[in-house]
Amino acid sequence: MSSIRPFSATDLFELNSINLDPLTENFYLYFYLQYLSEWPSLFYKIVSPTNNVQGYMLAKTEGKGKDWHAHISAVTVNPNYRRIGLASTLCSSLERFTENEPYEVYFIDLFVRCNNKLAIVLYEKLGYSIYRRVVGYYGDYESKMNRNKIDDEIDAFDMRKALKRDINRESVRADGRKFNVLPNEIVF
Amino acid sequence: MYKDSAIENAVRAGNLRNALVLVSKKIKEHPNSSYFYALEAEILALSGRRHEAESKANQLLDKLPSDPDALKLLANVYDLCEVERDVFDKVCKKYPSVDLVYEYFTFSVARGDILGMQKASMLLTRAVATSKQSVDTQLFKFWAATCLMLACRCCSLAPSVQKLYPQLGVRLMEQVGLPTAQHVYVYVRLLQLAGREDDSLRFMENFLAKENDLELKIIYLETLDKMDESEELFRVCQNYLTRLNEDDWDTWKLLIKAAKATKKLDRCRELIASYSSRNTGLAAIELGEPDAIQQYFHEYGAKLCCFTDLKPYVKKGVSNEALLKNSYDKIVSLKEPTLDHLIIAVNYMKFKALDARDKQLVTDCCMLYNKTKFHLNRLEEFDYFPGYEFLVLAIEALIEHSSFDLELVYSLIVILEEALVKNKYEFHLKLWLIRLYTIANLQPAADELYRSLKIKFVQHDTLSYLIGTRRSIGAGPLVEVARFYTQNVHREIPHMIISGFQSTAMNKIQGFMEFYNRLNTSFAKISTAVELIRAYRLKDDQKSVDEQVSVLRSLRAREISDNRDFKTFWDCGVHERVAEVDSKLPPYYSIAHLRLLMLRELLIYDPESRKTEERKKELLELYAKVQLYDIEKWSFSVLFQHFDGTEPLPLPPKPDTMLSSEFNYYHAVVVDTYKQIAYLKGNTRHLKSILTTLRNENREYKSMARKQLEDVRKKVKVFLKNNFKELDISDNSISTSFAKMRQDLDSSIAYLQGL
Ligand SMILES: CC(C)(COP(=O)(O)OP(=O)(O)OC[C@H]1O[C@@H](n2cnc3c(N)ncnc32)[C@H](O)[C@@H]1OP(=O)(O)O)[C@@H](O)C(=O)NCCC(=O)NCCS
Repeated sequence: MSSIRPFSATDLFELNSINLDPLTENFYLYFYLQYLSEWPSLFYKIVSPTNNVQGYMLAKTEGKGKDWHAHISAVTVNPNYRRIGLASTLCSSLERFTENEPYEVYFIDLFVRCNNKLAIVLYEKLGYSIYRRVVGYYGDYESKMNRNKIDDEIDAFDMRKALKRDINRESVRADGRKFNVLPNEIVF
Repeated sequence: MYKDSAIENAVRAGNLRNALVLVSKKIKEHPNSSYFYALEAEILALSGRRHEAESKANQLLDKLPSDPDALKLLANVYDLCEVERDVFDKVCKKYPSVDLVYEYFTFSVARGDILGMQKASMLLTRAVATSKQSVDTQLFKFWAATCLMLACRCCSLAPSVQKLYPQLGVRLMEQVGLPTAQHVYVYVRLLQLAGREDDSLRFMENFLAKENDLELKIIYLETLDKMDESEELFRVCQNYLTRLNEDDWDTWKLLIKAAKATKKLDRCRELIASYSSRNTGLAAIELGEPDAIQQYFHEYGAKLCCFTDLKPYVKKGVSNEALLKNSYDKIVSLKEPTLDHLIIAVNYMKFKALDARDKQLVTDCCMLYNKTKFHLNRLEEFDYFPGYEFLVLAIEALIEHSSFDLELVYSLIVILEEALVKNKYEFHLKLWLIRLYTIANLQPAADELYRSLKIKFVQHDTLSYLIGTRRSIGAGPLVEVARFYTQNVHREIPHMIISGFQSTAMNKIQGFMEFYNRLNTSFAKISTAVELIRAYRLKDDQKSVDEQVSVLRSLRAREISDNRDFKTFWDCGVHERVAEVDSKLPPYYSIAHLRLLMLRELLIYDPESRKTEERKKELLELYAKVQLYDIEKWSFSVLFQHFDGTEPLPLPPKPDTMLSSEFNYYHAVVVDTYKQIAYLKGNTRHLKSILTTLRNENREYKSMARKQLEDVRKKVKVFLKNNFKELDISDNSISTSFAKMRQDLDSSIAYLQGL
């Protein structure tokens, strides 16, 4: 059984079985608390009846005009609760929370390492598509300089899903895989 | 915070005499600055001249200085002198300027003091009302209402206050209005505290009609339930589940409850049947639908959640039921079970372990592990391999049923190390290994694994106990653990609490405050300080000892918040037997034990305290109550001899094996006891002769330890053949493990020889 509940700072004591996973980053305290302060309804968890955290979503909003969107900063699920649709539920909840009042964003986006096929499949199933490749996003300074030097290990795909406010679906494109940008070109 | 770097440097370097000279010069230069007077009082307090410090502080406070920095210093002086005084409150009432009261608010936040925040925020509403500055008066009213709510929810208040605050808060919120979900949240909480649940329902309903706020939805449903509004509860739950498509277990559960109360079970069944999800599968089980368990097992038997989901519903002996048994038997007969098969078998063994954990379970688990481990060669780098749970189940069962000895510990280490080679990110196995290394005398290996898990920040608070209990091999990673409290907690959290108020994330503030206070009074923070004091004392590093003592002295609350995570360790296994298994292993500190250790340090290093007599009394009470190792009892008895002249206990004999961390611990405690008495300038003649004997013996330790390890290696080989034949562990793996263990044991022994 799984229920969605708001995340509380004290839940940070309960994340070991999720955050000890090698692919899940464990951030500074201020980082979590900043998300809770600024986007209190976009940081939530999925729990068992005894309040065991099975997974969580950490998201924010940013951008101006038609770039106004929600950004998924982390979505992660306890290994014992994988492959039963919890990440999908966390993502679809974000759509519900952000496409209407008070946020009403145009789209949702996220960055995923180009070689993380599993996650890319997951997001494609949920209706996300690749908008562009961010060359050298996870790499060192050098790798962030040349937009033509692509490398799946250190590049990220910026994936997006248009929401109902984006009536003409201007925030997405069909051939995003071919668009390369450098990290410093992404500003909202 | 210091306004003069020369004085700051002198204080930091512990050169307090020089700091006093410098500060008196400053006072002469700036005779009207309250700041330097306050600083003088603080330096006096730090030098142990607490009476003088207190009277200087009183003189200054009587003049009601309005410099916030001076007030913060004064508050610290009173803390150091163990005197309760709300310095800001006194001054702010006289000079309620916005700036000063705002400082009062931030100061209270930094102290985690909700009542202080409440007083300050109330004063702020008045200060801004009369202020000429352009400030957002509505915002501060919102803060004040929030603090009233927090005070009622988190503090114990007199009944009259508990009644008054919600009313005041409601009135404030009515002036502020309800434009956002956060406003409605605070208002609703206050209405409920004022006993006006009915009204709160109305406001939530109106708001939720235009905005689907999760927090308010949950409070709304809970309130409907509490008020027995079952018809409405049914309607609202149905709306969330079907119209808004929110497949949420809490909502399903309330729907079932409301359906029972309103005799709408048929409608409820229809809804469940019309929806196909894991939650509805479980809702059908909750409703007692025929075949619902079988149906669930059919759909989710090959998912890891199956065991925890079904556990509350299955009867004893479920593993004998045909459905489970047949699928298990089929898997056992396969040569290469798939990943789905593997998960079904994991679930099956967990159900079986609920019933009995006998020798057969160990054999079966080992057989299954061996049969499925080929998947490890096929998985991608970070993929999760559920088969490791067979090992944990087997290990738990074996510990539960064997006499717990070092042969077993070393054998289990070999098994887990071999499993980690192919599954190098498996954190449950690593946690288990850390536990075992610290029982064996292999702390360097435990530290290495702790680091390899990249444990940081709040994880230190929950997990450092693994490497920080009776530690007898230097400070190691505990240095980083201690830094987490002084740096991250104090620098990051108060700032973010204020930021939470500024961005009006009012439904998060209670969590922030609880989080902050639990870290400030945390078990790991105190035990790290206590363990570090021993490590530094052993190395005669008095400056570092003093730093840790100040951590202990600065604790204002008596309570200790135990945030240690014992759960993740068992997350994979079967929690029901945790107590039986854990009782076989050497214990961690209890809260009473930790308090005992803390009181000892305070008695040694803070003899000037007003609380000394009280502390002595409590120490004796705890000493009589807490289960201590013999060597710990001896150590306390030596301290008591110093204080009261009572006869100490005889020194217990040395542990006979070096392959247990008790060996290092024994030596560390003996040397440490000597250092305590030496610091207290007591009679150390007898202790010195004990040390000389120990030191004379310890030259042989390294070769003796190696010999003992070699003996155990032979036994482990036999033990693994007899008990874990199915795992097929090669002699080569055993040799590799023992080669590494030899190095770690050498380091442990070398540390001890250096004492
Ligand atoms: C990635 C992750 C969040 C997926 O969580 P989840 O709750 O198991 O995902 P879902 O059950 O919603 O999966 C939806 C679909 O994604 C795909 N998918 C998810 N995990 C997969 C896996 N291990 N292998 C293959 N496909 C997978 C599948 O197509 C799946 O649908 P299916 O189960 O019906 O085949 C989880 O594995 C995780 O927390 N990993 C570690 C952290 C991480 O990598 N986060 C993502 C960074 S962008």
